[in-house]
Parts: sequence; C-alpha cells; structure tokens
Amino acid sequence: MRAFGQVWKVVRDIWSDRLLLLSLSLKDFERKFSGTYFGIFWALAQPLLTIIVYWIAFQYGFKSPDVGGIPFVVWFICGIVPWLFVTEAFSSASNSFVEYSYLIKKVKFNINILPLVKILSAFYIHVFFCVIITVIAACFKIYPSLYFIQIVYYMTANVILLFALSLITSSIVVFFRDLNQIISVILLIGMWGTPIAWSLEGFPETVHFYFKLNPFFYIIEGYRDSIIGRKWFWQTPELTIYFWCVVLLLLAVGGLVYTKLKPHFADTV
Amino acid sequence: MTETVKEDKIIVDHVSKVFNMYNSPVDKLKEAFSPTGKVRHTEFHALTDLSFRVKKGEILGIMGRNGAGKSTLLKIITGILEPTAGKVDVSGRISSLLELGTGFNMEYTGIANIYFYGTLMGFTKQQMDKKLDDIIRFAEIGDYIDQVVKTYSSGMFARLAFSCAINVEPEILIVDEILSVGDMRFQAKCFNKFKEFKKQGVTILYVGHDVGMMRTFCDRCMWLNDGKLVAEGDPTYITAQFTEFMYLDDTSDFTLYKKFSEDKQETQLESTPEQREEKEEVQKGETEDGDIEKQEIKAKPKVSENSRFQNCLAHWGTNVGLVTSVRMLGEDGQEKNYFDPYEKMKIEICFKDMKDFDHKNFSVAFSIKNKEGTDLCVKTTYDENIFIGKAEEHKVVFEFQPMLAKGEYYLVVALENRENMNPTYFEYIEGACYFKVFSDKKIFGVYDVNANIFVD
Repeated sequence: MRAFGQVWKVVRDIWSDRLLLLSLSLKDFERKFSGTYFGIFWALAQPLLTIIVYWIAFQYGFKSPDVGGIPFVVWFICGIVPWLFVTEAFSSASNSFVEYSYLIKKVKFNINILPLVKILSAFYIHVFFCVIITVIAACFKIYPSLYFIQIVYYMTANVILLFALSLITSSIVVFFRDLNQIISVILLIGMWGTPIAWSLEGFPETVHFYFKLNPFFYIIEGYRDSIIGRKWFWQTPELTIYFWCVVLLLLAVGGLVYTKLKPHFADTV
Repeated sequence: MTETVKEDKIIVDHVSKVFNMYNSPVDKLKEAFSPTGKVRHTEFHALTDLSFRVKKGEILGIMGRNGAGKSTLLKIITGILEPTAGKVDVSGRISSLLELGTGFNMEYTGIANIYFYGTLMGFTKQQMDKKLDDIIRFAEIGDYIDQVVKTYSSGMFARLAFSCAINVEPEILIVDEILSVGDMRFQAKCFNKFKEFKKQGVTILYVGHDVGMMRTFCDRCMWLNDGKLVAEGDPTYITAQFTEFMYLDDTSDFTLYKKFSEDKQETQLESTPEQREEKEEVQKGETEDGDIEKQEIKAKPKVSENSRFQNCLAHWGTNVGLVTSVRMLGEDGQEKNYFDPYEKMKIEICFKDMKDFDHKNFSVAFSIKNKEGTDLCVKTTYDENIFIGKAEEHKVVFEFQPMLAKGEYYLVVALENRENMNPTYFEYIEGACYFKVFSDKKIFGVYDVNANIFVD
C-alpha cells in the first residue's frame, strides 16, 4: 500500500511539473542532433535503415510469408516501429539520472521527471514513424479505419510501461553502471522474444501463453490491431487486465526503489 | 500592528549531515536492499548540530577552511541534499550558485542555457525573453553568448552563471565562492548588485575566503570548522578570529606558535599528546637557552598582559609578549584616541628585544585599518631601511599627519620577521588601539592629499 502511495506522489509531482517536462524533453530532443550537420536527418535515417535492412532480410532472404492476409512488410513495420521506440527510450531513460547528473547536483527540482524526459524525447521521432507506417500501409491499400484511434491508447500504455521500468533501472544505474550493458543485452533478447519479425502462428498453441506473459507482446499486437484494423483492446480483456496489473506492479516497485535510493543520488552521481 | 518583526527566511534547526562512506557504489545498493541490515559504510560527520536563522534582507557570510562543511550546508539549504537529522525551513525562491556553476549544460550555447536555467526555475519562455537582455548585459561576455558553454573560460562561465542567478528574481541568493574567478571589475559589479538586493530585501548567503569582502558586505558572519559552528556574529570580529586561526592552523609551524591567553593554551594542550609533548619541548628549549629576559617575561603575571590588549580583535605570533605597550599620542605628547586629520599623530610602540635574532631582518610595523578591515596605510621600519640596534627595550615612534576622512579606525601593530619573502610575525596585535578622526573640513574619499591647486 505504501508503495502505491509513493507512485501516487510521483504521478502528482510529474503532473505539477508538466511544463518543465515538456520543455526539457524538447530541449533534449534538439540537443541530440545539435552539432551535427544533418541534424534531424540522423534521427530518421538510422531507424529507417534498420527497418529496411530487416525487411529485405526477412522478405527476400527468409522468404517470410504474408501474415493473415496482410503483406509481410506492413505487418513487420507495425511491430518494429514501437520496438525501436522501446529500445531507444528504455536505454536512454535508464541512463537519465547519470546523464543529467549536473542538474541533480546543482539545481533543486523534481528529478523524477528525468526518465520521462528521455522517454518523451524519443517519443517525438516515434510519432513521426507512426505516420510513416500509415503511409506504407496505404501503399498496400490498407487505409486507417476507426480502429486507428486506439493507437493513442497503445502509445500511452507503452510510455507508462517504459516509465515504470525505467524508474527502477535509472535509480539502480546510478549505483551500478553495469546495468546499462545488461539492459542492452535484454533489449536484444526482447527483440527476438517478442513477435516482431516472426508470427506467433508458427508456434504450437501451448507455448503462446508464455509469449503473452511479456507485456510488450500486448503493446506490439496492439499497434497492429490499431493500424491494420483488426480489433479493439477490450476484445482481449484478459490480456488488457494482465498488462495493467504488470504495469501497476512495476510502478509500485519503481516508486519504492526510487524513493529508497533518491537521497543518495546527489552524492553518488 | 506597528511591529516591525523581521521575517526569518531561513531557519536551520539542529541540522546534522552524516555522509556514509562506501568502498564502492555497489555497496550502497547492497545496503539499501539488504534483508539483514548489514552495515557496509563508515560515517563522516560533515555537519554537526547546526542551528541558525537568517532574516529577510540579511547578508550572512560563511567562512571556514576547505572541508569545513560550508558547501554541504549550502546544498542542504538549497534542498539538493537532505539533512541526516534536523530540519531546514526556507521560504521563497532560492537561486543558488554552488561550486562554480548552476545547472548549465556544456553542450548548449549561452543563450540556450539561459532559457534552460529559466525553465528549471519555473519561468516560461515569454518571461525569460524579457529577462534575456538583462542577463546578457550583466554577464558581458560579448559574442561568446552564442557559443557552446564548454568553450568558455572559467571566468566567463562564472559571469553567465552569476548573471542568470541574480536575474530570476530570487528571494534568497546563495553564492558559493563563485566570485573568486571573476576579475576585479566583475567582482565590484557583483557586490554592487548585492547592495541593491539588500535594499530590496533579498537574503544572501555568501561563502568566501576574502576577509575584506566579508567585512564590507556581510551583516553577520559565521565560522564553521569541521562541521561545527565555531563562532557567529560581527564580521570584523569573526574574520579577525578566523585569520588568527588560519595562521595557527598551519600545521608545519604549529608547535612554534605560542597562543596568547592561558585559557586558550589549555584548550590547545588538550588536543593531542604529541602536540603537548612538542610544545613542552619548545618551552624547555627556550629555558635551556638561559635567556633571562624571556624567563622574566614568563614570570610576569599574565593578567596584566591580558588586560593590556584586552580589546584587541586578535593577538598572536611566535613570541607573544614582546610588545609591552602601544600608545597613540597627539602633537603635545598626550595620549588620545581622537584626532584631527591635519594634526600630527604619534604611534609609540614599546617592546622587549628579540634576542638571538638578526636585527637586520627585524621589523616593526603598524597599519591603520577601517571598519571593513582594509589596510589604509602601512609603515614598516624594514622597508624604510631603519634598523633597530641591540638593547634590552626598544621604543619606536611613528609620527605623521593622518589626513584620514572622518570615521572610526583601528590600529594593527606587528613585530615582523623579514628573513623570507613573506613576513612572518613574532607578534601581531589586530586592534591594539581604536581611534576616531573628526574634521570640520569635508574630506571625500578615504583620505586627503596635499595637492597644489593651480587656477588659470
């Protein structure tokens, strides 16, 4: 119960600092590419290239078939785009307290917005890529339907899940930098442990359950449901309830870890 | 209500800070989540039971040698560190310059950092637009404002940081030694700003090592040592005590110095057994020299010595007790403590001979200081090539026209050892005499000069 009290406090703090959060994340986004000649181009080029390489490898190398009547490329992009966001946001958010140590040591403000600053900073590019998805989908004659609006729901769910996770990791990274390396390994495993480039249909029914335990399964499938227009999120109630239980649990743990370690931040980072 | 109770802006209530020293950061993690509660740290007491209040519009100076806990205290007041015990109450917007800098991002340009700082302080972009000109004008770093901050010199960095900190309408300004990197002109500008702030009722906490600055600008002064409050009060007095302490604290020469009063000596003796032994050795060495003169001095009742310079701010040196009297005399040879600027003033210093010392390197000096502790004029026998011969007792008289503006002054008398580049002191009496200067003629500035005036 106490843990949820902490979570509530964290949420309230973030809400009261929403303007600061917004402007910090915009500054962070700007800064990522300041000092480079092509600026924002790199923000787009890198994921775009990743997508193209995977696509060619799977479509033409492994001859991946269409999934449930949907062209493989559309189906794949719907999965890889949210995952690229997860990778970028989670790894940078985990390092947020360390990266912003100059603020933690010198200025008094709500430092628990920092992980969210990094997540939002990655989010802007993500929104752009979601637009690209719809364009590509349209090329294959898959047009946005009413289902599309629930992408907002899945985006929000994704951000909250990432925040809960990074609240735990970012607090620990301050004391244990090695976690950054561990996280990049986990993200690599996650990429292949989540049905992004492959379909769950290829596996026997009995193991489906285990893949669904991964909360990112819910997110990735949700993006596909919204863009391809298959179903609403309340049509899979067990999965939705399970997902939010996991998020709440992670938030509680995150709130606890953060409040426990925060007093040591200023003299450790 | 006509009561004019000054509002307390900062209340520090029995604050202690203990740093847990860990061998590695991972130990911190292990301890925080240890189910057995195993302790993996050693404690370091940075601050011990500190209590004080700062009023609205007050400038509090904080002194102390490195590691005394000044910065930790400021960080706790700012809210970056949490105290281990006790409570800090702060009301009003705090703007702080901790350890040469604020939350500047090295990768941003000066302008971007100004906005960034504004955002952190809770200002909107529109509000910062209005302040931008003031900040840039005060910082005076020219075109560098458009450059990335990492290319700045430490002086430029400090200028911009200071300019930002003062232009965000702070109610409490916390300045940690930042001014030491600025040049003279910028420092002067900053202190003018302090004066202005004081009028507006801004509370300022200032950490510094410059005694003169402390005396000029602070209403009150605090001296911290090893995390404890040593003394607090009038800046002139506290800084004098502090200066004395810093000289004595020079550990290499520690045992050579003899403290002035007996009670102080006792506290010294309590310190460590080794120090006590060394001190005794020194004293023995002196007596073995068979120096009758010195033994005589020792035999004299301490009380009279104590009372002689009872009002002094500080009294110290390697051979305290040499000076027997310091008098200020008027033209007629009568002792007095108020003077006319154009009347001859005599400073008469009587002292015992410093035996076994090359008299070529012995110097008698006086200095007149104002309330802020600024040396207004200094005269030494050494620099005038006057040597003091051999005798049991000496009397040196300095005679001159003070030409000082109306005001209160004090006299510093010193017997110096000029063997080395920097003089060291056999005896140093800060505030040997106090006097006033009255004048019918108006003197602007600090002192008058004899100027020939030609009118065409």
